[in-house]
Amino acid sequence: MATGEAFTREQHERLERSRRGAESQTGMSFWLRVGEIDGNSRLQAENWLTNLVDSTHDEAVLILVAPGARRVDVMTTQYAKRRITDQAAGLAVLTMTSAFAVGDLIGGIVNGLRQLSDAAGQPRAVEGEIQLERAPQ
Amino acid sequence: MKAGLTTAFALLAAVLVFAPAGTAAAANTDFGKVGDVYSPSGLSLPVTLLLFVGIPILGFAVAAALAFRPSKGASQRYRPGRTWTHEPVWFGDESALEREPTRAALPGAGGASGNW
Repeated sequence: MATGEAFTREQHERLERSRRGAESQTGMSFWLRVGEIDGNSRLQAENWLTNLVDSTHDEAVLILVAPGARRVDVMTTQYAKRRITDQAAGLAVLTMTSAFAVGDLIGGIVNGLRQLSDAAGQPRAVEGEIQLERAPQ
Repeated sequence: MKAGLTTAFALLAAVLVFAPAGTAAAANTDFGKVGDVYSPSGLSLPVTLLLFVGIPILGFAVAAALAFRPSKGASQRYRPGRTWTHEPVWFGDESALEREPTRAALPGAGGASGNW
């Protein structure tokens, strides 16, 4: 396979749109990395997510896809784990791997992100917003 | 009888083919002119080669170039089991990773992993 851009512009935009959609739907932070990983991918995922988040209280998800090693990792922070349980993350991983196995890299990631954001649900209402909604009644 | 018939037909064909050319050539007063329809000059060897070898080779070369050109779409396509030599791609702002790490661990982290 030739080196260079992994995705066409359309594919890149589709993945970015999907990631942004997951962020706006859940209010959490999502990172996605597609590429090979040296060493233990689980440790690397934790190491990256540790440094990506601003605070350990952040709700953040990191997805690592290593197509060459045929490995996918979903890492959630402690607070994200309350909304995306390990079981839900496991189901999203299953969704992704079953698409990856037939060569559908983009579709797998998009569906995995959708499943993760569906599992997380709507963002928790902020205290101020609730007061604003109740004020006119 | 049969041989005679064949000869007659051959003669008729010859007359039909050559008679117009003969009369036209006879009418043509400018016999010495080279390159005329009725007194064509032979093609030189380089021109012959160019026409009957060069052009077909060019045609095959064009067809081969079209057939074996590197396919843009196919190289982009991911197939399981193939090596992945592309540069890693990040989606989302990963600039924080370039800073000095401030934390060593993420307590209570969860998630899942899988292979395919």
